[in-house]
Amino acid sequence: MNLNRTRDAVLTLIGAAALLAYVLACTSFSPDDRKVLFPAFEAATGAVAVAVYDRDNGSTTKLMALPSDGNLFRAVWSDDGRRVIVLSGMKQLRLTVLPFKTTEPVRLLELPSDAEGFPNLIMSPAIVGSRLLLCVKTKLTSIDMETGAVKTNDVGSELLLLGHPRGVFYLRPVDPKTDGKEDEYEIGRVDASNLTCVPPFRVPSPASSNKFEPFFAVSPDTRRVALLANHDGQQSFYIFEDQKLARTIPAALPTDSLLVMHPRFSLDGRTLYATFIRKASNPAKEETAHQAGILEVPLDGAPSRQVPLFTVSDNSNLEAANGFQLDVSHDGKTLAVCSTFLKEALKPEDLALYFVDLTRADRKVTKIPIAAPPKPTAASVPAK
Amino acid sequence: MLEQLFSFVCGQNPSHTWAPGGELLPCCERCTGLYAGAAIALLLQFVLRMRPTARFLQLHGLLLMMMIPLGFHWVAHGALVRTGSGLFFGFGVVSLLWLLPGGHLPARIIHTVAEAVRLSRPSFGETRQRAGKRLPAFGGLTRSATTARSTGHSGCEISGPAVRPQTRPQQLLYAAGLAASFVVVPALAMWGGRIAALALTMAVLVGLIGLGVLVVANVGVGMAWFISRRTRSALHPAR
Repeated sequence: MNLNRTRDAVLTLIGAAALLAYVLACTSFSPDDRKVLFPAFEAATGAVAVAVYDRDNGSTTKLMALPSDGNLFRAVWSDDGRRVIVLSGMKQLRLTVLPFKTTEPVRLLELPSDAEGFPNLIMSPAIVGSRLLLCVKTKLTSIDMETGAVKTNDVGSELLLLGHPRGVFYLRPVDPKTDGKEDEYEIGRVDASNLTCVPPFRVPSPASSNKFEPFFAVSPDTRRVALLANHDGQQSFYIFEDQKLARTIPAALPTDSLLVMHPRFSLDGRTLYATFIRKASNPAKEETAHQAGILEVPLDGAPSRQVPLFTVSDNSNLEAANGFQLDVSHDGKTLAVCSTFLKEALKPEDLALYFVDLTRADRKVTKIPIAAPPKPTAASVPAK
Repeated sequence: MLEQLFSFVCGQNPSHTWAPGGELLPCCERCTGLYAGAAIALLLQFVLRMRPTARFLQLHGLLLMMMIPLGFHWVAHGALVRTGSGLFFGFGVVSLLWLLPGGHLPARIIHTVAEAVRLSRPSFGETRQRAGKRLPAFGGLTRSATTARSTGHSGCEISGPAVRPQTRPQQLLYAAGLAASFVVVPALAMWGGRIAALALTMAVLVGLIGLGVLVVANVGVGMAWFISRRTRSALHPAR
């Protein structure tokens, strides 16, 4: 009896220790936000490059320079942070999978995009495990980044996809010819296994879509959805809770000349962050000067806050501003934005990667300069 | 809320998480196996009261050890193996954590508390004589504290209800339950829809709670044993 009891006690301790070791090992996986992907430039050629900034030692590593026709691109981490996925191309869409913490080879995939059209890359690509989801016209496409297998399904209309830790969400205008009302949007989830749109909810569209897409964001717990749309020249956040419109928060009045883009929820889902570009408050020196920064919108009705980051000196390039995105760190304490997309409208010193510390009341901004591309010389300009 | 709860015990790597019907489960593939497996193992233990024979423990020790090559990624594997290894680990852990609290946890606790109260009384002689008559009244105890002491066992070491002999059908049922869970859980995760996602979420939640209760019960048994020893040594320093 004593022997049995001792045996049981020892085995129980082994079981408890095994469980504890397992839990500790499993929770040790966590995105640490120490490496930040951003677009930079090749010093020699001025070509756009995918770079990684290491926040621990302040170093920048260029991972890949894009070919000359690859001036449209998006780069994103895989879910496990072991790969960098780069989508690039102008006529032909290329997918490059760069190993980051693994020794596996680089994978290069050409996507069947030229005949069908080009996917909407205004938002970051949506990734589910080893698969990348894109919507090319009405075809929802899944690309397995390990095998290169491509699966498509016709979903009837073009979707704007949003990658989220809890799945992939979509937004699309409802076709009034079928069963929808005019100016209605449909928001739902994408079932990545069979590429279908699963139970959507419809939102009365306040939007009259202009040249900028209606952006949307989903809170971390997926209960809240924010639609950023433009109605009669006024941008507003339409906040839906449990699929019902809960409140409308004006992002900017028409008199503000504020253009708001790329909303993201805070970790607790109570604040929205978005990038903005507005006319500079003192345009006396430069008539076309614009201010770019971060807009912070509390959902409890408290006033919004603007964190200015840099000045855009020329408004001719504001079309490129839809690439002016932000990202929230996994711990919700830092925002990262990059001004590379506005390179031609920037002073060289404003070309940088910006970190905004959300834990500080003064929203301290850390600026990491990015080397500007070399100015084209007469020799480098092709003869017409 | 569930996602937050599981964030304490799981890394929730989205690329290693099942999403039946587009619904991401609250924990990773291996943890889904572990907690769903623990829930099924607990159910089987409750219903079948498996006797911890040497062979039973050896087999479950093997299931537990399978986590070493797979958990350390010595062997390349995918989602199915991750879930399967979690399932086996869940069965192994439950079988070991079940040993002490086992099927007679309430009787042990009641008896231990009762004996601690009895020993703390001032009139030792009378209490000792009466204890043997009283303790069986707590039900199901096969041996009184007095008898136990006379045979060299301390009161808290008293055995629980008589252990039913394990029958062949029980063993087969347990093995069938283990095999079925090894098929059903990954199948639900791979091909199931939203209802499967709900079922798996419930299973992992039950498994997590069950394992938590088992750990607490083991700590309770250990503390009861410790208190009982301390009380006895304080009252009977010579013994």
